[in-house]
Amino acid sequence: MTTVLFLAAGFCLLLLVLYLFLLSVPSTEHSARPAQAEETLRTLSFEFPSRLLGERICSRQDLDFVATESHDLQQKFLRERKTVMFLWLQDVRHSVVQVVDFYRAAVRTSASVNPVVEIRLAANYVAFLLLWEIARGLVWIQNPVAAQRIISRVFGIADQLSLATEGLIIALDPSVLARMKPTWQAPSQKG
Amino acid sequence: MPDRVRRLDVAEAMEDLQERTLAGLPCELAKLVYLASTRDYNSGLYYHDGLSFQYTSEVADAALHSIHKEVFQKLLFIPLENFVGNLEIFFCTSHSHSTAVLDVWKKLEPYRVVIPQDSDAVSREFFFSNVRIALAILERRQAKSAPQNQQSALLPQ
Repeated sequence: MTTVLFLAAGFCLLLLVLYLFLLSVPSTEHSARPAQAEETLRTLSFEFPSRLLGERICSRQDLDFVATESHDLQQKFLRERKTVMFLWLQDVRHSVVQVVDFYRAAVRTSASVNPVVEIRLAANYVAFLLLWEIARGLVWIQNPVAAQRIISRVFGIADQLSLATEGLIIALDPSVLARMKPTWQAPSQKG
Repeated sequence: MPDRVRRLDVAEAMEDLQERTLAGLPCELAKLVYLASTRDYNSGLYYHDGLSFQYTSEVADAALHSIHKEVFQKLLFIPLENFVGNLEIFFCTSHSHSTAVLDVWKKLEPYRVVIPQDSDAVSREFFFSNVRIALAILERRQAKSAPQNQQSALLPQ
């Protein structure tokens, strides 16, 4: 009984830490990014779906406009937007997984590794996966408009991961990066 | 006869197209449909007689392609209300009756071939989704206004 209580308390503490960590993740647009690193990510086909498009899909303004129409039309609208939001979320996840895989491959070639940075990155990745599942569930149960805030946070973390990878690319030896580029194969189909 | 010197400036060709051709079109959707009509379905290359006279075919293709993408992006990011407005204007300014045009758009789905070739899947599906919703809204509005039109016709003159 005592063991169960301790386990439950430990689990609740872990959830609290994770929640506080998630609250600290910015949900607004990212700051200026190194152009060369962004270009490298693009040449490796690691292009994130548009954040603006994600915001458009879950736009409350559009829902309010359709609210003046019939119930059937409103339902049609929500069904359509759910389908597109699932596609967008899948795209974001695919891009993040690719970027993290590349990061892991690149960091193995690096002589200097900062444990704090690596732990934060790993925590970001876990947080992203968790938030992504919550966002998808919320979109499915309710609709994209209801999941607006959490979707914004999902993209915020995805952005942080992309930024970390860009930072690594800048720090990498150019000859190492040149060796990695042709051998690194990003999947052609997004799944 | 000496060869004409054709300009190589894509930006200039784009400006030319905007001012001479696209400015006369009533809405962004009309521009999108027009730009798609300049594209060869087999090769995916864009052709425009007016532009080809002043610029090389590569420049004309690049200019038309760029503007096509710009117009598509604009339509992706406008509010749904404005999108419905665009569709309404486009139907009203077509040569056929708007009810007939709406019917054709529902059955044939011509909006599927008016988007840029290199659009990503999410943008594509979002655009198609908006068109479907807009068509449904316009159809309902037409159905609502049809009985009112019949009643007006029955009133004594």
